[in-house]
Amino acid sequence: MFQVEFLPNNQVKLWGRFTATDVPEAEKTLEQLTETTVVDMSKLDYISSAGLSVLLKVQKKLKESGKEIKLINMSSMIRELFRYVGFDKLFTIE
Amino acid sequence: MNSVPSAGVNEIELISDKSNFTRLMSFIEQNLLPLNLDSASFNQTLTACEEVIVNIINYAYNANKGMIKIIVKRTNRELEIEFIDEGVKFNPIEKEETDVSKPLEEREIGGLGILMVKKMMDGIRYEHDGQSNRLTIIKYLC
Repeated sequence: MFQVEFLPNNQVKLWGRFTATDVPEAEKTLEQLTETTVVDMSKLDYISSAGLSVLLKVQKKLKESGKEIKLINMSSMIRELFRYVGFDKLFTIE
Repeated sequence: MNSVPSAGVNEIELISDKSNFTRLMSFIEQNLLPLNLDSASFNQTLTACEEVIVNIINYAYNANKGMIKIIVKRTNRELEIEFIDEGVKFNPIEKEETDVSKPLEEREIGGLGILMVKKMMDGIRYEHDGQSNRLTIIKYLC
């Protein structure tokens, strides 16, 4: 099951499997972000292309106002996936 | 139909509809669990299967409904997962790959699914038997 947890200091933590069925809820939640936000992916098992599209959409919107999402604690598998699809160039990954 | 037999082949056939997505993914997961894959291979295979299933549900039959069949075959050396639909003839392997070097403002939402499948699996093949699209993805087990 996928969950988005809001933490203090503009931090968000993603939990579980970010699948196609989670897109409507995730979009609704993550589109609320208006500040630069750190997204902790340590508890994210996997993310499909549908999930990646949500992150891309949010990043595009934030960048328009000079803000962004920064991704931290990615598993090596998800980091590799980001590299495959060129997302390592679109996000700050720490 | 949903249980994992001791033999190396298992299959499921359902209507290709969003309401069956979770059931199809559960079928895949139940077939992967006994294989004791490392977590990266496990999650890569699940992700790849999701991409294929979502494509079939969203695009194979346009506004109509049809079937989706998944056959999981396991040998000592590899896992083959075949996806069969009777929708519009479509070879995803021939589809032009998304340009992943574009900057953020030019990147489009979507188009990454089949690229991810190719990258995360060890093999992929497509055939059309005159009636069905048959896409097989392969993961080596050793």
